[in-house]
Amino acid sequence: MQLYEAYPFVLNEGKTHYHFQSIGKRGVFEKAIEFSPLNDNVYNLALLDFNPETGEYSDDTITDNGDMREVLATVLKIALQFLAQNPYQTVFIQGNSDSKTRLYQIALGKLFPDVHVFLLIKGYKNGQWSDFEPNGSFESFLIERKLLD
Amino acid sequence: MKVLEKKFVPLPNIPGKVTIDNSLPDLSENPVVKAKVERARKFLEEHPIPEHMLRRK
Repeated sequence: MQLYEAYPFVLNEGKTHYHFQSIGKRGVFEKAIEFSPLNDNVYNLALLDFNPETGEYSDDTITDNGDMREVLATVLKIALQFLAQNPYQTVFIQGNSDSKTRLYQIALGKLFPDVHVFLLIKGYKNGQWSDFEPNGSFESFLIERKLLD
Repeated sequence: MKVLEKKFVPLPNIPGKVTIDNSLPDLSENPVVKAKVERARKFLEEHPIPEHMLRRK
């Protein structure tokens, strides 16, 4: 997959909260990404929808806005920015449902050919953590920077 | 003894405008974020990441 141009995004000074707009066939949707520490080495990446009318965030919607590649490029750019600032951290990603986790599996599978040269992606399935496989069926994912040989 | 910094594969620059906006809220206390963090912590407690998979200085 060719890496598409990311949507413009804004971030807070602490570089933990990011905001961008998904612009597609169903309209404009506000998206947010929040990085939260889980322990000394691992941060959770939460992809959220923001409703500007209510000011509320949610994680249970599937936008289906026809711009998955642009959204993926944006999430990747944000993850890379975070890892550039925090090279020794690992980013943890998990869907809040089987369908969302499956979407992450598909998304990472699409990105994998382009990113595996500079990122290590691991996944959890069948009771163990292992290297990510694009056609696997993982329950959660880890992303971290790759070391030079 | 001097500790050598690890060297990482350089990251690409994906085109796209980036702006810092200090008015963005801190979401660490947002209930949706807190629920996701708790869920993730519980998962990692039940399924710990092997030590050799973690990046450490």
